[in-house]
Amino acid sequence: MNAPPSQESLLLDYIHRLEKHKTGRSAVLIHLSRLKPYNRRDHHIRAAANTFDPLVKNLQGQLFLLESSDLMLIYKKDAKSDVDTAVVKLKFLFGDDPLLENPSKAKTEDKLCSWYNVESQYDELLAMVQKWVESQSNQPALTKPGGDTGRSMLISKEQTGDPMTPRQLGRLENALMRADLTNMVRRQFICSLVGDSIPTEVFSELFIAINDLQQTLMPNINLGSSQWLFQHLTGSLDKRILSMLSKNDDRDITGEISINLNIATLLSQDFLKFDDQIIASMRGSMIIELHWVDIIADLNSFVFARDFIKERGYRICIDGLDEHSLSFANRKKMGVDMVKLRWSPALLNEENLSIDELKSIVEVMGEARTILCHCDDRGAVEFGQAVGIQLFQGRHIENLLAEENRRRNMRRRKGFRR
Amino acid sequence: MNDALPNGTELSPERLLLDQARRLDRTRKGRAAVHLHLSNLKDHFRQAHHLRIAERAFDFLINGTDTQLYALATGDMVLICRDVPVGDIDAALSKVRILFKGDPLIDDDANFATWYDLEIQYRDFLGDMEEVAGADRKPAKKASSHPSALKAMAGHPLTPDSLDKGISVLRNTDIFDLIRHQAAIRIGAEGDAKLLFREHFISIADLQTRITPGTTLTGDQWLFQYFTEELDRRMLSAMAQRDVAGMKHSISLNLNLSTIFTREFEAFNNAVGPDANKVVVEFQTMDVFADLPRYNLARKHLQSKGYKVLIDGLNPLSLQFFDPGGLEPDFFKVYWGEEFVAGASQMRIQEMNAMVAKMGASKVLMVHIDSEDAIKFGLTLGITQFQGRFTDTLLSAMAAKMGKAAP
Repeated sequence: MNAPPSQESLLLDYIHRLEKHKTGRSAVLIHLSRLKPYNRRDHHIRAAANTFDPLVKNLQGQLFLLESSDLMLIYKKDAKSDVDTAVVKLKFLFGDDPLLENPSKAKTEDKLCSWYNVESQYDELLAMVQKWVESQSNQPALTKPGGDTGRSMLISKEQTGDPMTPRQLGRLENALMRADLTNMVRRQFICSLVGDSIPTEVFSELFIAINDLQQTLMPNINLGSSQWLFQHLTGSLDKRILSMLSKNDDRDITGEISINLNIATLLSQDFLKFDDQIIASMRGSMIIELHWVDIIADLNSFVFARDFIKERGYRICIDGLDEHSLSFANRKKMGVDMVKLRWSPALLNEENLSIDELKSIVEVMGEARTILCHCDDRGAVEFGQAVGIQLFQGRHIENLLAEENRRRNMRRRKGFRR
Repeated sequence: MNDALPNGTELSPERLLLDQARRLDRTRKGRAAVHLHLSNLKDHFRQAHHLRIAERAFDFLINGTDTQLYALATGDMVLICRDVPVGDIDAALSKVRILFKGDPLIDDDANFATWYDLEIQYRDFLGDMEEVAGADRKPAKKASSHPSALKAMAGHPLTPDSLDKGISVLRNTDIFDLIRHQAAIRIGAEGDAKLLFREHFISIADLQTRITPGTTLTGDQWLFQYFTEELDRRMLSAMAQRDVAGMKHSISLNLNLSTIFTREFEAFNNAVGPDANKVVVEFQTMDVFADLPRYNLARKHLQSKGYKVLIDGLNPLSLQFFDPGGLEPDFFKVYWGEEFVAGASQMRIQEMNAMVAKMGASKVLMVHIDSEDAIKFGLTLGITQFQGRFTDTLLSAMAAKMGKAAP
């Protein structure tokens, strides 16, 4: 097989040819390799590279995607402000990464980008790229089916632990039957948020914190390494959360709540027992979240379970939609009450879904029936609001609620003093 | 029902039903009965958990009125009520209908339920119930009418531990002889049938007998899916060693997306060489939707090497829910079973036409073809590609006519 020339060798070639045209040119090396592995999967790299598309199309610059996941852009000096804009967008894209989360005190230090003046630093640049090409040719040809996926999977394995085996899953599920999970149950609020106003709680989701579970019961094992084994695990967790809820005497768990369940669980004796035990009024205040993949896996069972639980008074929310699957799902056709879209910076990448497309999808789903979850920062909420979404969930919302509680307590205390 | 029960003996619903039916002779006033023939549901719906849930549709009658429900072993249900308005019974029945929407039985009033006004039709009712309850004493008949129930009882469902064992056995088992074939055909403008490809698949029932006797591999959807990843690798290694160099005809293989990025696929790809354009790779809809970026990566990777990509597992229901057109494969495999074909209404045909148009008629492959009628029906929708038991028969018949052996 004749391998295509690597980006490094193309870059080297380009730099050689630049020798006579180096005046007025700059370069920036963007160290995506310094981001956490979960932030530099293939689609992240593509999203980052796309940020420079307009520049490249206008022949203002040339972009190279390097083996290390870093990007190298060589551009004309007049395009400097466009490059700056693109870099700002990039930093926003990866704003949740530790690399960018804590800006260092020295303002001049830029952890993401190294800037070069091609004219004055030509030799330095050339030497650097030559070194890259050499180290590449010293390496045995890597078998990389499907681009960098295999590699990034290996890296993420190093970071997250060994993949879970069926045997470990069996052990974990046995342990789960006995383990006390009450202290692993988390609650997160789904709030309506209009403009800068205070978030209004609409309902809250109860879930078992998988991270805590992993740390406690299976440290060094990546529970999510196989989507299918993980999905099986959630079935065991379903049983535990149902039994916890049916003997719930926790006064804290009030109001409208949602839980995640598998469709197979809804059709099981465990759910029928749960349904028998809870008071009728509770069904009306419960939302069952079903995962999109679980729905697709067996639509007949979904329809059956959906009609059954709706008739009993529960409401249904589709969970697990992202920028790729969203356009395939149709809330009304699927006959459910709500949908959850997972926030990720990739939503900003219009290659998947343009802003206009997103707006019209939200409109069809219903602005007050679409929840943007995993909102870890203000930017996520602002983005959601910009496309019409009114309901939000995530760390950022929890922070806002906590802040509001603090303020309320302060006011109350002041009131007492008066 | 609570009288004359011998201690410790659990009476079957059939016995209890018969007891009540006989005693009713004296108290027929205001009574009605409904016999729901749920045993006539398609296998898919006639599963224990579906029927258990269907029973709940009558909760409000049982709790609020003088009503008894008997859920029989065959799946049938018998409802006996006193002074309950027909409208209330209808309401319960329509809940059951909603649950089984999609099954032809529910649109068939006469075969879905039999109503009895016990003041007038008591004798008929008693006679019918004696027959229905009598079925309980003929286990052979009951078993034959319940293939799915039997199958589920045939083995223990897969557990993480039995999966683990199954995989290690699989790794040391030759499975080449378990590979089965089925032809997919394309009907030309002249009405002639040509081989499109032969689907190669492992007979799971045979595999189960060989590697996990006593365990139902498909008993757990997610664990089975995990198992198929291992099976893919075994299948590819078997194919790469013996079957693919210099293929005469196109083939198709069912693979997981994750398999495309394995060494085994790479080895297979090397063995296939320039014949990649004779290989169709079939992906399950669920696997595709579980990771769309990975699907797109795999699809482009495969198509660039000449492979064809097929989306498997579509049916009329899934097409109602989403438009798979955006997935851009080379083929869509749609399960339009006979039940959808026979007596399809004008409206249904219109819907089907629209779905075919969305996918592109030339990309649609209609499967589960058991008869010539199904092909004729497909052709009226503009579909020209078919697969099923009948397509194999058709190909051999055509080959025989031309005086040659089947390809």
